[in-house]
Amino acid sequence: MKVTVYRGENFVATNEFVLHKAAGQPLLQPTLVLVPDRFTLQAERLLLKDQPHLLNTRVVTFSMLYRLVADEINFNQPAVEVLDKTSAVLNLWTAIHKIQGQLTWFKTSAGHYDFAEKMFNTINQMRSSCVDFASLENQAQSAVAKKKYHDINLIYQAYCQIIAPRTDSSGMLDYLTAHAAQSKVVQDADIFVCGFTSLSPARLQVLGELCQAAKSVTIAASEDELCAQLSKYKPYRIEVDAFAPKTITMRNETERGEANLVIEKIVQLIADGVPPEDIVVLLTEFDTLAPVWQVVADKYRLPVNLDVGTKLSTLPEAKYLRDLLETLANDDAENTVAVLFNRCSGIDDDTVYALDNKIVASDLRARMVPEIKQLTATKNVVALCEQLQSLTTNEKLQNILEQIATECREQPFNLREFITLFWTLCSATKVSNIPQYVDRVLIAPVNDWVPSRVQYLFIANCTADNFPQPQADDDILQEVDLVGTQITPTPSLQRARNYRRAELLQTVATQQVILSGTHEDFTAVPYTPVVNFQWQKTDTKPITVGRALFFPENRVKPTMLESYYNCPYLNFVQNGLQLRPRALHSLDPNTVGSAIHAALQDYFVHFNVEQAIAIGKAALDFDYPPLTKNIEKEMRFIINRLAKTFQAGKFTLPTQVETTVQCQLPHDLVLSGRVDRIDWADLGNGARAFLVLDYKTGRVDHVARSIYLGDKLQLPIYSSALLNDNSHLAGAGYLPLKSGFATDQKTYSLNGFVNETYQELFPADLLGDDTAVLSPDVIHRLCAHARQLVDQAVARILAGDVTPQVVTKNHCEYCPLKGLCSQAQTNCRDEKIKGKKITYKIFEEGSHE
Amino acid sequence: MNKPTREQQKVIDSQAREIKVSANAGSGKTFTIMQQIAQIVKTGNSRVDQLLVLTFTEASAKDMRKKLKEQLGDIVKPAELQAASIGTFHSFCSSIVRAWFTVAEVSPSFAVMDAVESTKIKAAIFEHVVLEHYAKIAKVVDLFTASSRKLDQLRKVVFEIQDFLDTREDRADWLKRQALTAYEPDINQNQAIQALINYYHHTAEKYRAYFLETGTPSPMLDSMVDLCNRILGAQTYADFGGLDLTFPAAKSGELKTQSDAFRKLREDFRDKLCRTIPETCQYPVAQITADINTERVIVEQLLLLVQVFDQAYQAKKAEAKKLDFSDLEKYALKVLGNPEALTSIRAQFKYIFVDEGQDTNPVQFKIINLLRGTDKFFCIVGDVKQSIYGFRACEPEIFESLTDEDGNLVPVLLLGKNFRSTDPILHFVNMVMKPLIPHYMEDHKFTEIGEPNPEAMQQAVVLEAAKTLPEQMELVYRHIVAEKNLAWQDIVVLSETSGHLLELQKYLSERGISAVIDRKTNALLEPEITLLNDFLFAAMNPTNELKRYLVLQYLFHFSNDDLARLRLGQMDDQLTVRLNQCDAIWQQYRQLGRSASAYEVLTQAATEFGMLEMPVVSAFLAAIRGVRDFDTVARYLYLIEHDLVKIEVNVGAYAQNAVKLMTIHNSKGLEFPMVILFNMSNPWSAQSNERSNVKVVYDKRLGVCVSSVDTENYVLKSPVLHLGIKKYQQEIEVKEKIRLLYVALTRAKKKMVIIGSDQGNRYAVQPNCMMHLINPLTMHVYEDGVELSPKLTTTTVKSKTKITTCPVVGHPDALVKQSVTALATSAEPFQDYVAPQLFADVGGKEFGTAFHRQVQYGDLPEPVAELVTGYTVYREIPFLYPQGQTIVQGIMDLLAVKDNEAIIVDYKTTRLPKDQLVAKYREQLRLYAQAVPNYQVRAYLYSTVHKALIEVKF
Repeated sequence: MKVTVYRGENFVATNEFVLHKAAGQPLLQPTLVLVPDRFTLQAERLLLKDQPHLLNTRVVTFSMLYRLVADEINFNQPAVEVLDKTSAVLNLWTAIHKIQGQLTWFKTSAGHYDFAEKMFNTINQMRSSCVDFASLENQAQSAVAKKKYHDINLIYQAYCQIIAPRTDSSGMLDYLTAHAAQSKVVQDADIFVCGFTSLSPARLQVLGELCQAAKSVTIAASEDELCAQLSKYKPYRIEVDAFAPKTITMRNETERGEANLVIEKIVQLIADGVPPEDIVVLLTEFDTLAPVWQVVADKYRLPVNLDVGTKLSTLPEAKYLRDLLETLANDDAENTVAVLFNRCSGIDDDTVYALDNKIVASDLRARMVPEIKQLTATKNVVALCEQLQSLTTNEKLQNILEQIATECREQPFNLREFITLFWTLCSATKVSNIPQYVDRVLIAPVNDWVPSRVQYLFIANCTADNFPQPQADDDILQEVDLVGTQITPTPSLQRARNYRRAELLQTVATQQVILSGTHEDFTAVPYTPVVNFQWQKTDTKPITVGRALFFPENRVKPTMLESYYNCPYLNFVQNGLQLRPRALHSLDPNTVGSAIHAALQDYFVHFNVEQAIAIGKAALDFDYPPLTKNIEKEMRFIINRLAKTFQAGKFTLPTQVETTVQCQLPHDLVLSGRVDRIDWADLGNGARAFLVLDYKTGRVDHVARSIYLGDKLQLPIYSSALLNDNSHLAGAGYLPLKSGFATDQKTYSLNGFVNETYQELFPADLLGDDTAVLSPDVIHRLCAHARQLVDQAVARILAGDVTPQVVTKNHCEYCPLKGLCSQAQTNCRDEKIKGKKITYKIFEEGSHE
Repeated sequence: MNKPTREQQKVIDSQAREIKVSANAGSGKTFTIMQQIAQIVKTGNSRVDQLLVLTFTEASAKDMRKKLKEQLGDIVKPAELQAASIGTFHSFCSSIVRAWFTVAEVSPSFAVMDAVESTKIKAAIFEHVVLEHYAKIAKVVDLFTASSRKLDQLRKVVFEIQDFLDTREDRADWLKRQALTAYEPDINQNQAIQALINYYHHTAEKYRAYFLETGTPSPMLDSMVDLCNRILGAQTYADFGGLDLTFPAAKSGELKTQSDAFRKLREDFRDKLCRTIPETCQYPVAQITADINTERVIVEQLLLLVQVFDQAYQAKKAEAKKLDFSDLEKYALKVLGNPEALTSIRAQFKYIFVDEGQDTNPVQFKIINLLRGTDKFFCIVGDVKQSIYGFRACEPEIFESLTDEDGNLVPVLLLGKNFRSTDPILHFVNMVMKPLIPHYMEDHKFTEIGEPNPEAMQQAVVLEAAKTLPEQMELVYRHIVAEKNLAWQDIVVLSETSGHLLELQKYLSERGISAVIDRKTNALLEPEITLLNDFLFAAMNPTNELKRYLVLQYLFHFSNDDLARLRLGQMDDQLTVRLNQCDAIWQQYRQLGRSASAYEVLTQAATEFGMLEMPVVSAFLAAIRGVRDFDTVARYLYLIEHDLVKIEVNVGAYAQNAVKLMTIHNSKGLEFPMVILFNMSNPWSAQSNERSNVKVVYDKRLGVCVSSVDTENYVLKSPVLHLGIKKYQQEIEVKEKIRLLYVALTRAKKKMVIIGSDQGNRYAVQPNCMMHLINPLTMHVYEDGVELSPKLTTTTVKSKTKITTCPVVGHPDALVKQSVTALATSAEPFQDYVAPQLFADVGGKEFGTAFHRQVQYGDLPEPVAELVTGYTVYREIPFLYPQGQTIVQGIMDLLAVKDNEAIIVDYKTTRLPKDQLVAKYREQLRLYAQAVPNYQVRAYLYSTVHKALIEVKF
């Protein structure tokens, strides 16, 4: 009998036993070693362990065997093309499109590519189970199932027509079943079969043919299922050394912590003399966690080999093309930015930065990359594919695009669909990577790793929800739900496969199996992460170049001093280092404020409402009607109401607008700022009283308190600068142009302070609730206090003091530094003055506290 | 708790086809259900896979599975247990939509969007929708942008109403009819105005009762009661407008005869009613009617906006083949509307269990109803007292008024006994809740949940009062320190709002207590993440100066002075070297950032700067991995810069050995040995104030109402409708607060500390904070001479007693530089990207392949045949041998052997001169020769171009 089945208890050792036999073949004796995919390299390494030179021994998978047989039998015809899964699905998709009208059950969504993929899996599964398609419909019990199988059958027929004369993986197996026996390669060979845990019915048929035809066949069987499948051959029971690995578990709260724990242990093992190759780490969530493990391994300087089956979709080139298409389809700025930054864009760095800054600042979308412009004109899929092909040097990508072009020639073109299709294909396509095993610890995905002998096997993420838990019952495997409502294998089937795998994996290590996880329901080594991390606070040493930084022209702006009192550090960033967040394309309050100011300045010179609004609108430089129309309305409203406000009072004319006020400061500095408006009133005898007015488009309250704290210095500074023998200060204040809705037809009111001597000069309703009427003496002290604050601020800035200090608790929330200075809520000034009501009483009582 | 109690046994043994279990907090609800299920399975009434158990959270579904395994592990195979349908509402809906996608008319491979994704989509289309329909919705846009000049508020309101609609089974109808309820022009029929009148009546009634209770008979008391009566006598809006509510001035000495409580009530009464009523009811009826008509237009525009926005959003989702959570429910309902599907789905189940029944919204309820039909065994468990998700449109009334097919109420079984807390705590809960519930929720009775044990209670429950927040925080600290028997992780501090938890955390950690906030926060606002992102911004675009400088300062430790010099261009050599080092690092990340995903780059950066182990960083990284929108760094940065995404993480969930701080809402369903209820006097009005800017109120019954504003003249108008709905909602809110309080009080197992200020007022007509609910009622429980209720200790705390040592675990070596290691050099086939170009044609290659096949299976070329005459010939022979650390593998075209001699021939189709051919392929043949051990090897090339054999010597 030329068929020998060796049956041992341990999977790994049984396979090694058979491979050892294969390695013992005489040199040049034709030998085929038939193994599952991904086992080839492993098998070759094992063969070479026993036999340093292999000649005429081939390690083949089913598909390699097909190539050998088909090439031999049809050597004078062109080779039959075998579709990979991607192309096969694409063809199935085309088939479904063609017969969509005939389908009865899968109606609505049948056109979707992802539906095609699911359908392909189903059909493939049925074919590998050797299901007879024609009889399915007849056997179906319910009307629903009948309809469904009718559809599946139709789709399959259409698919077969489309792909002929090419074939796919199931077709390959059919071919082998029919032709393997005629092949001389097979007839001459001693065949060794190992590494399989089970064989699908279709593969089992091929194996049956090989057993008939080949010189001899030797099979390794340790798994119950495979033994059952091979029961017609008499097995030899063999004694192989069963490993009895100890199983230990470890747990850590976070996934990174888990990686740390495991890698630490591995580093220790290697230090103890275990060769790295004898350690394997399996991840159950490889795609997402592999980078973490890589990083952690790097941290410990542990050489690892990530067994990456990188997806095509992770390559920059694929992303580039996808984003390009998305830009065409969506006109979204985010995609455009992604296209620009991609290194495949070929745009030089400086241009990219400039465009990026522009995208942030303006609403520029999808209009600046030449390729994009060029592609926008494309209306048909074939041309689009060709153009995209020319943008890539990646063969796989080109291949995909070519396939789409071929298959879509007759399809209606829909850009959305195209993107989905393209991206699905990219995601499904792997970029091959042959791992180097030597002197490295292998980190591999749990489902793809080929079980082989190692000393230490780590299985990580065991407490993840999809972790394959061992399970006693094997019956579950039979549960392929082909008659129910689903068209994919049931989750429980998936789970069952995982269980079996988990069981197998736990027997392959010779020394230890180490399971690790994160969740609580796993035996634990507790871990306490660090909480309340804070990094070091800002350096509080004074800067030595304060003057050059803040006062390059020896000029001091009052607003800068105000901002200094607000937060010296923020002032350092904004006014010293001149750093501002990038302007986003939006209507920010500053722009609106400037526009309204511009309109008002113009109005009070020319008294022409329409002209003023036109100027205001021009200053806005933004067009989004739902907002801008409203602002236009608001400007008109403000102008009218202001005019009305000033009609009654004496301080209406003459008006001095945009006046520059200057005064000398110590250290050769000049304080210089602009007043929105100064109103003058004639007192007789050449004497005049003036009112300093500043428009505010935002909220202003507690002016008194703000002056005291230094947040508002302009009013007292300007006031004192303008004072002389003939000009008397009547008052100073802000005019809040907008403070929510008025409760009645109230006019605008001043928010500031008024000299009681000239009180009668003010229109009665100009004084707001927050305006204080003060004696000249108090005003004098107020101005002096402000002046003192100015001197202090200048002195502190010159001394380089930029220590952060915030005003209110929610201040940091709006700060562009987002609390980075780490001062938030610690040095809060609000806290210190809480409960103290600061009013003008402070000045009246002479308290300068 | 191994054996069911009698109460529980009654539920377990219940023979009724449909039952409703009203279960108090901690009464062993899950245990009972599991027992019940076990019994059903054990007696053979149902297989496990014929059970459908619906819950509201993943955690409880997981917990149930675990418990079921414990119960049935012996008799049911694990595989069968796996097949049991125990899951959340959403996972159940998702499974039926997926299975019946043809009926639901969705793509079979739809993806379920998370909140981040749906917010992004919504934000992206909102501006377009507003612009597109501006002409039709100008008034409502004006209303919202008039003061803010931004669309933010409008956006928020539209999103909110849309979310609300998603929970309505009757959404179209609601939009059409119910939404405009408040705008009934006949003000005598207007329900919003009626709600305001009802509120005035309720309040006046309460004042009247309190006046009579606290007042000493006198003309003053009479006049107060008279005022109340006047209010109660007014029936219509017009009546209220005409009321004379002039407040009688007190005669000298008159007030002294009255109690403090009376005086306080009198003042409140003046402020709350006598002043407010004339203010709100001053408007003539004609004006109100006119206002209603103008405002109705605005509301109609708002509803139109909601509708068109919703349509746009649905279209966008369909295009992307995405479903959001509410869609799952919606489509599940659609599937169940199909008779074939319904029959098939229902046939799978015999028994249906629903947990937390009080948290169902109308759509979910409809689903439940369709499933249970009239023949399934149905058991719903819940506790109306724990319904605290009113803001998510859950309707406890649904649970309360559950009826069978004949319209009869489903029989209720009660699980009253609480097993969670010790009796002293339960006693306290009874004390507080027993009078509260009937007082504020007239239609409810409170069933006691434990035995009275007043003495022990004083040990287990502590009420503490302190006025200011720092003082309250100090109290929290002291209680934690004083607790010697429990570990930190056994202590949890609950607060009604999350607002002050951050301060508390800081306060505690400054004093050496690790505390973590157990709640979801937007990681993008955390400084650690901000810094990492800034690093990425600066790396990707060095002209983004703000980010660049910040990173230089905080990651690369440039001092303020260094930065100033950098800005001024006054750099010394050392500074230049440091800057160049930073630039080199940025350069590397820029390269990486142009091909890798945000997750990969940030993971690497976090490692480089020693930030990987920070909980917020690791939680953040876990949250962004695999997110499609972040698969390119540039896109990620764009989205965060424009504030289009929010990345929610729960840092606290990871922490051990730390006191947990969380909101009462988050604590639902959990239990802790010791609970500190913090900031219980935080006024609710603070939340209402926050909402006073809100220009829209809506209510499921009273519809949508905009605040009354004349946007042309920027003037507020009669606020009657708005106020009516608000007051109506406030009354509902108090009920929800009571339920929230109940949840808060029933979390502790052994010890409970309640901290707030002592502003308890027994006669609070409108309770304003949790303390109002607790305090007055605890003071008056045992009045027969013995004061047994917990003493309200007013503690004066000297705040800011700083402890200088700061044992917060920091990173001693944090932020130290490490070299950047290449992430996956082996997997990077794209290292040297060259400008795109088309490939040349590959005709030569094809010819080579064809020739090889020919010589493998057909005749040999003549010179070759001649050479190997007499030899045994092998064609296409594979070989393998190791060399150093690599395996050499290949296939020889031809190998011929005789005795110990071997000839190797390799066919070449390359068009090259002979000498060049030899030079090119010598190494290849040398390697071939090594594959044939123990033979004398001669090697030849056969050139198809030259049609000749060329010997190759090594």
